[in-house]
Amino acid sequence: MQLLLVEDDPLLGDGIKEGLIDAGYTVEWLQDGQDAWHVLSSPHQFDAVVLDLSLPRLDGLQVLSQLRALGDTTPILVLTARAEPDERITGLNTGADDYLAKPFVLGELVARLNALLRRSQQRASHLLSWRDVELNPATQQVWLAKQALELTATEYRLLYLLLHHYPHYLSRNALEEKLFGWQSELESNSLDVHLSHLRKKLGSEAIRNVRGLGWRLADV
Amino acid sequence: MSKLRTGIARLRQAIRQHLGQSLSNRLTWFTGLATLGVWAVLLVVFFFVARHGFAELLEDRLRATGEMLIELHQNGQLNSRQELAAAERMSYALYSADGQLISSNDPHPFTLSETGRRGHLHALRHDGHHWVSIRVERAGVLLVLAERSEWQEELFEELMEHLGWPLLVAALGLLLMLQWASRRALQPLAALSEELARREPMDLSPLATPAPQEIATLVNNLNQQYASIGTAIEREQRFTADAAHELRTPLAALRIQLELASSSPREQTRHNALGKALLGVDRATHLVNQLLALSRLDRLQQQDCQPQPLAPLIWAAWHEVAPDAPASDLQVHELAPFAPAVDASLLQLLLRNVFENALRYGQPPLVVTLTQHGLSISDHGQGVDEAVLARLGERFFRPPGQAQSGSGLGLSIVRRIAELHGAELKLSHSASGGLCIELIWPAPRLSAGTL
Repeated sequence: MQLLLVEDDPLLGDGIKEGLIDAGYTVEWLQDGQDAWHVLSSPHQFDAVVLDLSLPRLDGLQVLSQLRALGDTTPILVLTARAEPDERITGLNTGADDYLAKPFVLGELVARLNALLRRSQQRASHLLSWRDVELNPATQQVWLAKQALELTATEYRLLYLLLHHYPHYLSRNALEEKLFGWQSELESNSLDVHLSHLRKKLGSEAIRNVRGLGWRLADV
Repeated sequence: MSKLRTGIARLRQAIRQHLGQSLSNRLTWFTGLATLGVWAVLLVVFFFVARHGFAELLEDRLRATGEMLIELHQNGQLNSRQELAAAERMSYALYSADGQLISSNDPHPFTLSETGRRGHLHALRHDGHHWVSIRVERAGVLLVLAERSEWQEELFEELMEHLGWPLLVAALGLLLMLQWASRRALQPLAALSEELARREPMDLSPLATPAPQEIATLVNNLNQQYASIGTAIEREQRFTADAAHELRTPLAALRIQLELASSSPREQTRHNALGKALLGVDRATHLVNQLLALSRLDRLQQQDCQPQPLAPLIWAAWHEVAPDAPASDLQVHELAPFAPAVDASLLQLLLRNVFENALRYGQPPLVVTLTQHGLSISDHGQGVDEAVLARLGERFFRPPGQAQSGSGLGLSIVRRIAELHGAELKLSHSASGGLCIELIWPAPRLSAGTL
């Protein structure tokens, strides 16, 4: 799952980014409203956005309203140092899905993001499940046939992606971006390596691949 | 005696208290007493005028009677009129020119010596009664005619009866009317104090009651006070709100880094986060210090300034900010001797902030130029663009995309200190493209005597 973080404060941005990585997300971090608008206004892969309101060059509220005007429905959680109710109301009315006032607890930010992602997928349960596989994004635990399944961090993120987007296909580009983000220069086969490791743990029939469409979990 | 004295003192105290209690009481009593005093004087004058007129009337009547008696005597009919004189409580004594008593209706006739000078009314006591007498001299005889009279007492009683009681009642009425009138007259004051009593404690709007001329200055001053308190409170509130807002982000960062340091599953992240948390503490401390400095500066008014050369202050501030910097990083050019009146500790705070900014956002070497009107400090950094230049010095303003940490208050502090010294702060681009900060003191006014 790939998140976009827009926060101009270096120490806070760094902390949120590391915390979200710990929570099992791939995070891109921008420090500027104009850059954020540039990225979000073109086709993007982000599953959710964490947006600070007081941003240089382009105000967070401005980014938010322009984005909603484009018809983008990506879940957006707004962070702000202004805790007054009318600020929150303006933020929510402009198109924010949730609101968190600084300073906040990292766990709450993660929980709210998980909830946003659950709602965007119209899931009732906080668990993602497929056949006898269950994944809890809050604890990053996976069970296979009621047995705890040990996955590496990348395998977990890959499974989370496939579960979240089921029954839709994810292209190689989308998968690579959501898994590894923009920064890393990965070897061309590293996605295949992780996919094959996951197949070994879930069963060889678990992940379907259609040339030109990409990957998805097999039918239930 | 001492009892009387304490009694008087107590009365005076009570009167003072009664008068001090209300303006209306004072007005009533002062105008009331003044009016009654004038009345009393008029009454006395009236009494004397009336007595004089009455006496003249009496004199004319006695003289006419006396002349009539003398005429009767000349006609030899006097004895037959004795009863009349007695019935009218009159007593006469007729003397010849050489002082022999000719006739009298009184067993104890008035003597000549008793009755004073001739031709004027004379009051005297005779046989235990009050009399008024007159001497009439005509055709070689001398008549002393007297009438029993309590007329002065009667006159006083008459006056009291017809004027005194009505006056007393009128005086009481007057006091009541005055009391009522002064209350009405002081109505604007009452309205004002009512409005003041009704006000909420934090209501700082101007008073609405129209003030009469006598208290207009008072009300205007009060309104000015309200306005200035309102401005001060507003400024404090804005500052507090800004400060709370600006502290939230560093606190949030600090909290997140500490959470990571304590519970990130990645060893390296935990380690890094601890270092960043320390950085966060330093940053928050810096921000709090700057906030405190600024709020203190906001409250300061006039400074205790001593003329002194700036170069030693510049070097002292520089060594505090960059103790280990190479000597070539600061160049001081003294083009003209200049020793403005400054508060040394404030000016050092100003210089420290300028130097910290220059080192944080600009590049050494810093060039300080002292001229005869002030000083300029420029660095060799990238400088800022026009839009940023216009906003530098605004509280909490930080240029967009600024990677270096900072409070956004440094130049606000510089600006405020310049203001306290009456100096002008100018920001511009330096020749090398960096930022140039100028402090310009107003040229001292030269009078003819100093030229």
